[in-house]
Amino acid sequence: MLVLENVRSGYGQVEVLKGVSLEIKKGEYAAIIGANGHGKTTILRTASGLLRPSSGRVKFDGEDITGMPPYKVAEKGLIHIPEGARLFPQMTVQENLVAGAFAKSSWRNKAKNLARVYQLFPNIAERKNQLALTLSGGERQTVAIARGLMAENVKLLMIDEPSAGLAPILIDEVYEKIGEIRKTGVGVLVVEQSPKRIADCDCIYLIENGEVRMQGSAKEVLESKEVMQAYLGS
Amino acid sequence: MVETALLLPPLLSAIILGSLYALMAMGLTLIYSTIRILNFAHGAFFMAGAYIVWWLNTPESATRLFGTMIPVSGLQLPLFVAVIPAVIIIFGAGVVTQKALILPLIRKPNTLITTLVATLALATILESVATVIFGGGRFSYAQELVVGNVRFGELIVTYVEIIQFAVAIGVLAALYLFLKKSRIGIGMRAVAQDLDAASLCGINTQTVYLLTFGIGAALAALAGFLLTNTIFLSPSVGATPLTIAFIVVVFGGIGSVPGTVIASYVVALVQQYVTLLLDPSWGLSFAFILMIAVLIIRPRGLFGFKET
Repeated sequence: MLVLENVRSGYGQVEVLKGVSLEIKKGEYAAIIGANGHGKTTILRTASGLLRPSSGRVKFDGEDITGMPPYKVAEKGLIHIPEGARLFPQMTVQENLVAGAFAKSSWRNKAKNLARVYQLFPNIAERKNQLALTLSGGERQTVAIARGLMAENVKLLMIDEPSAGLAPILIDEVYEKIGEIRKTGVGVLVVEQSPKRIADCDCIYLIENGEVRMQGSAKEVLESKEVMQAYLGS
Repeated sequence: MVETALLLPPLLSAIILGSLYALMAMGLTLIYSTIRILNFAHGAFFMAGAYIVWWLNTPESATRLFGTMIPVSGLQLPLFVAVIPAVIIIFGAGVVTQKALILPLIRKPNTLITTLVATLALATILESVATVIFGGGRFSYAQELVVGNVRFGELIVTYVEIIQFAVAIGVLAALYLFLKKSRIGIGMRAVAQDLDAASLCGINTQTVYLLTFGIGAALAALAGFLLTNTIFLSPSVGATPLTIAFIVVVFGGIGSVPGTVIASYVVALVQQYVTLLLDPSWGLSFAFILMIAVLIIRPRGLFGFKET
């Protein structure tokens, strides 16, 4: 579904990704882990088109999307939910969701998709007329995920640190929601700091210094000495 | 001491003028809050819109172009018809300005300064073009938009003033609904509030920029037409409205739509009462003084939000 081939990418002169290759299969639940500043977010930003790779290819659903602008990537069904939720603060919850249906094909079905996400996340339906800036951290994260699901034909949801800044009980809730989304057949790729949240992933990539240090099943990766080293500092 | 009866006409003028200021300033607000640039060509779009209307309307058989007389359109469109192509043409000019002038400069270093100088240059060029084509003299439309007035006791309101007020308010209300409900309007607000998040929502930010600049310019052209029914038209006619629009935008809180509307009426009120109580030439200066006083206490302006 999503394939990165030897991708180099970064900000200006600073190269963050030094040749990253990975493959997320259709409907798969995958995770990218690693310490801060090693390029996890850069992988998502390059996949969604916010950053243009300096070399290498990005493919999605069999199509080369390297260098495609973000709005076109989103229309293909590859949805990136950025770190910190990034809601539109001066818009209501519902307006935020509607903004997620901006693409013409999504806009036609926005009433149907609104009903669907409110059913999936009843707690935000209660807050639909509240300004986004008044929400708590957990609610913000939920609205951000719901906004991503307002696009028609979502194939893969890339969520950057859904647990950042949240209390443990709220993190459990967010991951419960991610579980529900997976049941609808949507693939999910999360970027995560803490290994224990992703024990049920199909596939995990450990990123270190802009490269894939290790990849494999959750058990293989989480119990490896590489992960121990990355998190405990050799 | 001024008599109470004298205090009422300035209030009425302030309500009418304030609505026109809001229409003018709203274009600047939209462009700043969405594209994050200050458009110094806004006054030139105001002027150009008014000249296009004059040109489509004039019954004169010839006009001066590069010093020689050439036949004019002879279309002699009624003013309220001529305004429609004028607004559409300036909308197009706004789109072209964004594409050709602004786009190459944004997301580069010093965008705010480079676009400021570029739009200032555009304003100067448009003023020169108007001077070359139409001469430096003062014009007024061949007819009044509508003739007549209504009286409320001592107060006299002309039909032109009623139309100025009604069109300005009507267009601002329509714009509000557009921003609140329409697909493009929601896209514009999303881009204004978080550019990256907006593009991840599937919003084509370049298209939103083009439309925003077009709409902003069209609002200036409409304000230009409405106001020049009561003031003379000249190549520099946009300078004062541009200054007022900047006072309004900064005073109301840069980028804030409600702030723009409220500040428009405050500035118009100050101007009108200073004109009555002191002297007309002080009106604008007092509006500036008030703005600076507010900014010292509240640097973000009346309704500005914190940058996030």
